[in-house]
Amino acid sequence: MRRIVIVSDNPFLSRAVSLSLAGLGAEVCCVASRGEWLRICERGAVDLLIVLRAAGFLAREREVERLRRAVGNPRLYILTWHHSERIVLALLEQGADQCMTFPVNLARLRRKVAEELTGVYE
Amino acid sequence: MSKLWLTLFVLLPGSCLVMGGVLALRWLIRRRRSRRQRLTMIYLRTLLLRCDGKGRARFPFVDRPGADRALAEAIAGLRRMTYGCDAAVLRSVVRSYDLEEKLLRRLRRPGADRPRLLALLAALPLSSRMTVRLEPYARSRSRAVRFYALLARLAADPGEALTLLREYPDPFSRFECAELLALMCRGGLPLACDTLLRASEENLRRVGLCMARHFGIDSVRGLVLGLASDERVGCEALETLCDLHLALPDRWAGSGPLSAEERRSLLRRAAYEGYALRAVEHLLYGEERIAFERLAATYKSAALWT
Repeated sequence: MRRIVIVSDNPFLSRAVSLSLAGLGAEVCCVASRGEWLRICERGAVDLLIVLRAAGFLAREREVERLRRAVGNPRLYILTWHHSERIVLALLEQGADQCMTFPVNLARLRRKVAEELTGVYE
Repeated sequence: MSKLWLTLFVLLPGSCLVMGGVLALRWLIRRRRSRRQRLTMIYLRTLLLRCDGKGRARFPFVDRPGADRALAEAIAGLRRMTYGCDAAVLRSVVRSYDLEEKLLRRLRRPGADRPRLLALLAALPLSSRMTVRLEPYARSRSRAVRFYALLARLAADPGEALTLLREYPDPFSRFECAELLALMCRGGLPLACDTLLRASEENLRRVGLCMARHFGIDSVRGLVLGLASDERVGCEALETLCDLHLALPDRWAGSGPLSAEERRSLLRRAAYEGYALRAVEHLLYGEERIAFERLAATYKSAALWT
């Protein structure tokens, strides 16, 4: 079964995103901290990582690369409240596969995730 | 001896009772809050089902105390973080559970957290009659209440946005401008940037500048340049020019309306935005040139390393 991990310290946001991804045939886990998320990744391969804040990636250099090395190269979506074009570009240049800004369209996010999962496994 | 008796039989049990009471109260508050959060999560699921058009899913426990606030928080949270949810569905939920009236009743209670409740109202799809009903809060002594009442009234009747913004008595702080922009991002404030920049009111010009900065609207360059010499919003106009990577006017060099603190903040912003020393040197005083060189070097070395 495909695995999606949602990382956010805001339970409302992670719940809303996880509910919008229900029925895609994937196991969706919500975690609040980096430690928890690394523990989940150690238990088995993760196909998609959705991070609902960009602060960690902006504070440290080459964070995406480091993360990919640590958890086995999952696809990475970052959803952020930063609307600055420069920040979005910086996140994409760091290696994020998709970067969206809040407010997001949950139907669009679901479609993108579905396409991503199909693309990976076809 | 009598002091020992007093300590053993009066003060010690008394303080234990007080501490026990405080702990019990804290436990009750936490329990109530966590119950409300659980309800909010349940309602979020129901709302998403309704927005997806999957029948008329019911909201459980809606008659319980605090359920109205949990439902309002679920709707507000959903509206803050998403777009594209069926507004008519959310409006019908607000209407059928009479959330406007229930929240107004909460607002009137003594000791109510009015700014928070008004912020909650501002994120709901309100009916236009709420503009009048919230008017008394716009005259409150508390600045936070006045501002969130304005936000709620703007959300209730976006067509009256210009009038409501004009009537607001205090100059908007940066935080308040950011709140207005958040409302704008949700489509709740249909205003054109150039209309705001041309307005005679300071607050409207301030919101316009914020809008230009946030959305990177460089077509209003001429208007922003004109505002650079404005006594009230001059500093923000210069910041906007920096953010839009446009040429800075000579006005900055004059003694003008800018304080030393504002000049330093502008220098920092210009350095951060990548302006070269040559582009801004005509605007700098003696020691500021050295400070700017140092700042620019710091930001550029950071840019090279990332």
